[in-house]
Amino acid sequence: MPIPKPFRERYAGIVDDPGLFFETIEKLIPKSFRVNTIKSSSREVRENFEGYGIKLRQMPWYPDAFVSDEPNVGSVFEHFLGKIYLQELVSMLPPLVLKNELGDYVLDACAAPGSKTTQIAAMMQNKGTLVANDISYSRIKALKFNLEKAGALNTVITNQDLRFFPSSSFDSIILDAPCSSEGTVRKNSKLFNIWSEKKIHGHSSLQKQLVLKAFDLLKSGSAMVYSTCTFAPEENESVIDHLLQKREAKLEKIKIPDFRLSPGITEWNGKEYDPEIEKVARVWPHHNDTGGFFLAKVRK
Amino acid sequence: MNVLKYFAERFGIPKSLFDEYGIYAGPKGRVYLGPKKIPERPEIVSPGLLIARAESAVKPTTNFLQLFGAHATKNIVHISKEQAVSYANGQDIRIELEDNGYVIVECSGNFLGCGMLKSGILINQIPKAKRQLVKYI
Repeated sequence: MPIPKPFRERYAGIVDDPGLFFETIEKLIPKSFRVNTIKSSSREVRENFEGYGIKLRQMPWYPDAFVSDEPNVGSVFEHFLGKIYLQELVSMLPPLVLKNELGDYVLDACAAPGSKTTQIAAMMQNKGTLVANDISYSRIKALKFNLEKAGALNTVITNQDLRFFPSSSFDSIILDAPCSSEGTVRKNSKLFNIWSEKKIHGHSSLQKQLVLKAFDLLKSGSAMVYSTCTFAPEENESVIDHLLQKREAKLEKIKIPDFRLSPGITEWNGKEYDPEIEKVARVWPHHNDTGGFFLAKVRK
Repeated sequence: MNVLKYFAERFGIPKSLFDEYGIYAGPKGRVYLGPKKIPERPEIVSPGLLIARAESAVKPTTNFLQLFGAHATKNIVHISKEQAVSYANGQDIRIELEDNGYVIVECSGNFLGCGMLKSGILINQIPKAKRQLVKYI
C-alpha cells in the first residue's frame, strides 16, 4: 500500500529530508540481531558466522548488535541455542540509554514479547531483580518463552494493567509504551492499511496515564526511559510534555556515540511544548538505516 | 526430591552455582530458579526460569541444561554436527550407549539441552516450540 497522503502531510514539515524519509520507509529493513551475553559473546558469534560464510556488520554504537547479510539468520545454530536474539536495532536503544544506571531493582513496564527484557537481564548480568510486566495474558506466553530461552534467572513476570500496579520504588524503569507503531512499517508493509489519526489519539491518552504511573513507581533520584516506535508527536513529545506539567520530572539529553539522534520538536499543530522537550530523541529511519523510534530519559 | 541435589548427583553440577538465586515451587511439580528478592505484589506469574518438573521423577528442562551444561561432569552425550541438526529439529537419535535416563546433549562445546537415553536411543526432549531447522552449524 502506498504511503497515505495524511501521513505524508503530517511528517513532511518536521523531518529534515522528507523525500529521503519517505523513500527509506518503503524499503525493507536490514536483518539485525543482538548477542545474548548471558550465553555467548560478540566475539564467539562473530567467529562462528565467519565460519558459516555469513557477512556481519557490527554496530559501532553497540558491539552486541549486528546486521546480517543472510535474511534467514534465524536458521543458525546460535539461534537455537539462545545465543542470539533477533531484534530490531532501534529496539535495543532504551536499555542502552540506562545501561550504566539500571540498579538492582528494575521494571520493564510493558515487557512482552521480551526483546528489551532479555537485553536488560543480560545487562544486569543475570543478577538483581527484573520485573517484566505486561497487561496482556496472551502475550505473556511469548515473553516467558523468550526469557527462558535467553536463560534469564533474575526476571519475574507479572500480568498487571500498569495503571493499577502496586506502589513501588524501582531503581530504573523502561516504559516502551504501546503505540501506533508507524516506525515499524519497514518490516510490516501492511501497517498503513490500519493506520489512522484517530488511533494515534487513542494511544496518546493511554500513554499519558502510563507515563505518570511509571514516574510514580520510580525511586527518587532514579531514571526512566519512555519510548515508542512511532513518529506521531501526540504519542511522543506531547506525552512527555504532559509528564512535565503534572510531575516534578527532569529531562536528560540522550547521547549515543556513533548513532544519529535528532532533537524533539517543540511545537505541533499550533501547540507549543515545554522548551525542555528538545532534549528527547527522535530516530528517523534514513539517518541510521533503521526503523523509526522515540526516546525520552526522565529523572525523578 | 531436592532438584539441586539431583543435578549434583546426576550431572555433577555443583549446588553452589545457585547460591545467589531463589528456588520456587510451582504447580504440577514445577521448580523455578529466580531472583532471591521478589516483590510481594503484584501477583507473580513466573518467578524465573523453569529448571525441572519433579513429580515421581525429576525431569530437567532444556533451558536449564543449555545454561548450566558447561558445569556438568557426567551423563553428557556427545553428538556430531549432523546429529545435532536432527536433534534440534526434534528427531530421536540412535546411540551406542547402554546407560538409561536423562542426559545432557552436547555438540562441539554447545549444549543443546535435555535427552532421554533408553535402549540405545536418545529420545528427543526438546520442547516442540523450540525445535527448528538449523542450516548453519
